[in-house]
Amino acid sequence: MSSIVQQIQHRTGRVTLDALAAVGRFGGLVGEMGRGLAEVRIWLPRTLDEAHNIGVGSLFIVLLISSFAGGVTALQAGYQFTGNIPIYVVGSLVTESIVLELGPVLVGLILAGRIGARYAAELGTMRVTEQIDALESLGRSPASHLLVPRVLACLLIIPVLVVFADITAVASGWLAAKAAMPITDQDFAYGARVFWRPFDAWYSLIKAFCFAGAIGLISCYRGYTTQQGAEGVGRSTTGAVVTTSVVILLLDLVLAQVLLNH
Amino acid sequence: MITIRDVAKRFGAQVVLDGVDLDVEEGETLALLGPSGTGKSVLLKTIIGLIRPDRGDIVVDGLSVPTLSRKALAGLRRKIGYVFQNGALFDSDDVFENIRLGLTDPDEFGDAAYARERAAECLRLVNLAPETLRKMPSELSGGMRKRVGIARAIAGRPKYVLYDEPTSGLDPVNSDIIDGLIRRLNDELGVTGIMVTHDVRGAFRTADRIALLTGGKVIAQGTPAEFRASEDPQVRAFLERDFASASI
Repeated sequence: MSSIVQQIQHRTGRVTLDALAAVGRFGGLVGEMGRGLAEVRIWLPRTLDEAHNIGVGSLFIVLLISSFAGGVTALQAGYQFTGNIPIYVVGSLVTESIVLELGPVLVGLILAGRIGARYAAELGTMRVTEQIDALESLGRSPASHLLVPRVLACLLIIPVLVVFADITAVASGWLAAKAAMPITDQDFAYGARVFWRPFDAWYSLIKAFCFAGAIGLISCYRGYTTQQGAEGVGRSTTGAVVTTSVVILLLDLVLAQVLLNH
Repeated sequence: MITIRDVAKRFGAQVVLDGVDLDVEEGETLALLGPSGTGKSVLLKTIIGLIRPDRGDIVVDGLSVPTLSRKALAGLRRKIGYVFQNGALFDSDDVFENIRLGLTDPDEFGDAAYARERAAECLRLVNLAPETLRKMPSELSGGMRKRVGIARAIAGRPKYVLYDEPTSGLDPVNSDIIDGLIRRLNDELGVTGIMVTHDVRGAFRTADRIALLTGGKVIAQGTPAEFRASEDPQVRAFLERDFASASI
């Protein structure tokens, strides 16, 4: 009995120490990036390249998924709000649910897979093929060459993609609502405006910005700390996607509590 | 000058280096021989501060590498070129950008015309045509990747060059080209070199001195002639295995 207790204590201690070590490494990496910010001449052109790559590369999938999400939201709203509830409520529901929740969260989760996996795999491969060591051996900072551009590109582009996603989803929701139920443009627009607050748009952007930070930082951390060859790259890549997705959902909860319910 | 004193390193339970002592004089090329897994590459990485030793000291130009600040270490690394085993070229950059990153002087790095000229010059030194500058690493053969790796390492005119298995996996013709290049860098540019290798024949052709690392320690060192005449059974065993297939 006591040996089982000892085993549990031993494992708990080890998990705690591993977690603390990971937090320490993550903090160290963020500090390293902070120092890397001083080398503007190095990170600025690479950030613009990265931003262009991930922006252009992600635009199609973001617009596709957001247009489906908007359409489905409108159709489900129409299905639920029949009878005594005024039809313009569909406009309110579609707009608010997309801007407050679906737009940023769906885009965040999609890009956690698309950009997060890419960054973790790229940096992991660079680590196991000694490219990161090579950069350090040349007296150069991997933070300013590799990490800062990727994180800044995420912070720059993901909020823009979320704005595109919000607009596309509301537009497709509008079209779907008109096609499936007796709602006029005036009804939808009235519904969209009646519960609208300017803060809703800011909330969507704040969420997008936080999710972008999570995607950039976590995927760079997982890729940069890759060990043990191809298997390690695979582990880092899946780990980056899973961890980022969970963190996005946690941030979603925390931001809703902090920014909407205070 | 590089001085290595009592350097030890372990990874988990595995002791890789166990008190290595070694001196590398200015202007000489030292070949570090030894069986696989004896920590030759680890020793090379401790010299440039990529791996921190558990014990001991490495002094390069009077600076103790393990105790250097991040900034001082970056400064020291600019004096040292490192040739990685598989080239470690940056996949997403072409050959020109790869070599340009080797320009450690910020002004030289920022001057695109000078950088292109210097990159072409470094390619000539490693017997590659200037047209190679436009190629991506994926378009290069193994031998070309190694030579571009050397070009990148020497672009910033380093005082020291550390070669990690520069001829492993190459055919004899390419191995000879690289051995000749290392010798030329030493003779013409006065570069101090440490070359980790399994290739005994290449070590004898290229190095001024040879050291044998076994069991985490340097068990023998000397000029090629002294090494060849050594009666140490471990040296004999290591050399004879290779001499059986190649006459020196």
